[in-house]
Amino acid sequence: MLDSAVSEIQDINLSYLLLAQRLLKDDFATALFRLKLDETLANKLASLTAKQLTQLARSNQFLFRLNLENPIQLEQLTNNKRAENLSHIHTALLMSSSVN
Amino acid sequence: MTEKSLLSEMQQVQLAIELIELNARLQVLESETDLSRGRLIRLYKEVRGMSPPKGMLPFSTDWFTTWMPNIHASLFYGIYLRLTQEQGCERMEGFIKAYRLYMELADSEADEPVLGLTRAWTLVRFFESGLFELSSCTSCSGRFVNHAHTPSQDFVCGICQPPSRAGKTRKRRSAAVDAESEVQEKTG
Repeated sequence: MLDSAVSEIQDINLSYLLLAQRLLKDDFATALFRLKLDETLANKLASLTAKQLTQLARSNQFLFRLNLENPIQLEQLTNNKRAENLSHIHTALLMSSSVN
Repeated sequence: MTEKSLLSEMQQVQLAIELIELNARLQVLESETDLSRGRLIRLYKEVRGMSPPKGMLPFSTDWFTTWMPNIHASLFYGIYLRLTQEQGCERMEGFIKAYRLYMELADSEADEPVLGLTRAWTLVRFFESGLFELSSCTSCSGRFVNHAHTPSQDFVCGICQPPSRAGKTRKRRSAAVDAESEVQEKTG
């Protein structure tokens, strides 16, 4: 059970890193926005080799974490009965304007 | 000199094509490129296969404060600000990238996004001329487009507190039009 969770974490880590690299190479500015990464870090990430990515991914912890840090916002996004069909827009809006 | 101007002209044409593909009106192109009106019209016809629509641009700020348009405008502008202010994108580059990102979220059901490209551009211009500012919602902390110099200590956004009949009357397709009248009551 635990073993499979750890290997799932590693898979997701690696998928994340590979996708992040692809996005950064494809359209750097848009990728920075999607990933919420700082430019210097993003450049570094984009330059890593496949071997380095695999090493990074091999952990029992996630390499990335939830972009929404405020539990009140999370509550608002998931529990707004009056505007349920707007929740994807609300989520995007809060994450993109999260310079609180 | 000739070489440099050729290159910059190519970039201008490229920018114009991108804007036309995203459904920009002629006024946007005239204002954001140095290309002549005649060339822009030709370019427009080649890209879209028809003449550019005639007529003036909508220039009222009120549309942006009605319910659904406000939500979409705030989403777009938040992305635009992030790209241009925090990531240092140049203005038009940031504008186009932000608009594409907005479309990914907005375009799922309707034929036309609530915030068309020309509206989005008008919005940026309104901010640049100080007509708008962002107000923080006291409930979700999101930042929303608002008239400048509006007291906003008690501001609550249209998602946290939708107007009472919002979204119930017709499909989302016409929600934007719908919302205009509803919110006018609310903001009045």
